[in-house]
Amino acid sequence: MRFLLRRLLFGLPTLLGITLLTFALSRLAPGGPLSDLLDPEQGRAVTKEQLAATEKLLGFDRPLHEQYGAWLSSALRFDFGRSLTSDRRPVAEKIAAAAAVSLELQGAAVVLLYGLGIPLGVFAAARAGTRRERCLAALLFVLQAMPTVVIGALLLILFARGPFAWLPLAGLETPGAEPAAPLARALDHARHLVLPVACLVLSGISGIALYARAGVLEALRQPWIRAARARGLPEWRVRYVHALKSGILPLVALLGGLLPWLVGGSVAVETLFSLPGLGRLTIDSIAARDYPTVMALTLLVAAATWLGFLLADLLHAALRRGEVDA
Amino acid sequence: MSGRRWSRGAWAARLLVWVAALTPWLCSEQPLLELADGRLSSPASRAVAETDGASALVWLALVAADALLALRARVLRRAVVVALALLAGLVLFERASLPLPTAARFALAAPIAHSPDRADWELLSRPETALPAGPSARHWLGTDSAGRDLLARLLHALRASLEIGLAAAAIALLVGLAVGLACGTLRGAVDFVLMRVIETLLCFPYLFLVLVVFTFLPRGRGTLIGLLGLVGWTAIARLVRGEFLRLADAEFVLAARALGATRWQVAWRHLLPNALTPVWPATTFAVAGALLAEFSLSWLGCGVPEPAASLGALLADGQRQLARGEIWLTLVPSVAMVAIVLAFHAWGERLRESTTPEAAARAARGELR
Repeated sequence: MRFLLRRLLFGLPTLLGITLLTFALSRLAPGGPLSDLLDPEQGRAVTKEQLAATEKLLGFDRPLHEQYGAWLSSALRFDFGRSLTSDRRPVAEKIAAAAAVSLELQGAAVVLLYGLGIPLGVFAAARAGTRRERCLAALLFVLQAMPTVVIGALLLILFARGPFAWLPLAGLETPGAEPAAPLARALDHARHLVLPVACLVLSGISGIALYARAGVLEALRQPWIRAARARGLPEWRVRYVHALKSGILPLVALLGGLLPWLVGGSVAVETLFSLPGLGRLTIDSIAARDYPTVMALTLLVAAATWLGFLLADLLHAALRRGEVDA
Repeated sequence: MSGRRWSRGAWAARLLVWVAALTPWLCSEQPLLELADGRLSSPASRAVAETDGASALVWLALVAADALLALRARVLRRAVVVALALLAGLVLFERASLPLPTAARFALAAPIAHSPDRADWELLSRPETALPAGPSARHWLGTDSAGRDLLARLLHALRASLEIGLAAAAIALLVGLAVGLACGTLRGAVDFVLMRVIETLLCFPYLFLVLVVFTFLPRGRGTLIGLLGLVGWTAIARLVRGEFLRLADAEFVLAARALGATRWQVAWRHLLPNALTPVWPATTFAVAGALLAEFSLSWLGCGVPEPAASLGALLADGQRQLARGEIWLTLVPSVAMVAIVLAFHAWGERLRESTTPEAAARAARGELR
């Protein structure tokens, strides 16, 4: 309980720092956030008066601390204002629409990542030193060095033609398809998700498998594993229950990164496969200098990371306590 | 570091650095040496001096330092350093030319005699040429869709990427060491505030932060290096601080304090050298991290602006040809990028392995891996 309070107390300045940095980021542009409008090279020259009027309208003429206070108090109520792009939609609405796409994608990837990564790690640890395991380790090592973009590009090469050409390469549904039965549409949707999810899984799996391998390898060396084997427990139980239980502790720290991964979306994958998710929204908003959206997205991802770290620390502490008591 | 054998990853990484340092002379449209009108000059070096002399000098100094540290034979060491100094001299005195009393004409071309950002007009003027051209004796890796030599672009992109990666990692190392030193020595309020700053920075995904800031600041190599460095120091600072806290009660520290060393003397002379052990692998991973970030940014079109070649931009270029069934232009930059990151990862992995207690025990038993 004291740990919990301490951790929360220490976390509060960090949360404040997150909001401050988010706000500062959006005011970085030299000459103010709207200086872009004055740039005649982009064919968008406005007069000084128009600029002043716009600044007044958007509240950019007030002192910085007032702006920060106003932004923070409305952000706390999840009101991020309207986007600066021509459609002027509320930012929250835009984010919600994109989040639906990203959550589905990342959620499927997370399930597969942990569902495949942990058994792979346990397998590697149990067979440490054999030729098969060394091949697997080398493969994971190469995968770890591959940027997501490269994995995606290679997948596109593989599936662009040849015997695998039956998977769609972009978007979420077949364009121009007639409104078919719900089942057929769901199937079409799922087929569109195969490549992006595979890309995410391939780019993340080596980290998880290598972590699980290290943890389980360490655990398998302990005397109580020999004791468990001596008691006649089946080998799979020794590996997947006894060894994994203690070997999973380092993986808990990784869980902290899971939450921002879920809500942040993936810029690379969404760009590669033209999906309208949060990563894509980030890039587009930055390119359009849509400050309210960029600030909301930055705050969302950073706050999710903060929360993820907090939860991971608490979980870690809870698991450690259980270990000490036992 | 002395006495430890260089691992394969380290050799690969160093080879890449050497290639990057010598790229302007490895591939250049201009001849390396030219004898005309009774004067001997080096047009390739002049081109370097005119475009990017300062960074070329830093590169040459870097590989010269590497040669001094790594080469055992004194003759070899001197030869390499003299050769590099000669190149640096050619860059520094860009108009340098030697008057020779002869009417002979002679030119020594670079091994890859193509410019990275100019199309090969001789190839384009041939009627049978289809772009992008495949590998040939003239263009070893073929050309891109604009008729520019792919190998020359690749090498210049490698140089640009490594320049950003190494410089950013150097900044991250310096800032990380300074902050870790301050936290571990001063403790108290300084430690508390700096640790909260680190935690705040860690809450922003690396790439995300760089992306947001970089679009709001003037684009350029310097900005990118500074940004990647200022985002990447947190891991190193935490490592150094942890080592300081761990070693604070070690016997050699107590001994130094008993002999009357001040707090900063203990930190600088005794703690810091010992705290560096886990920092070296972290630094190689920082280089890889900066390389990956730069790659993703330039792939998104948010990196160093054209016409400078970068690996990410090369890949994005190649992917535009994918729809036409051209996979070569996608494959080449992908493989190059993976090889570079792999080299630095392998180096870091071996460094990390060699500093674990297990490795120390193996070394004590006289075993080699």
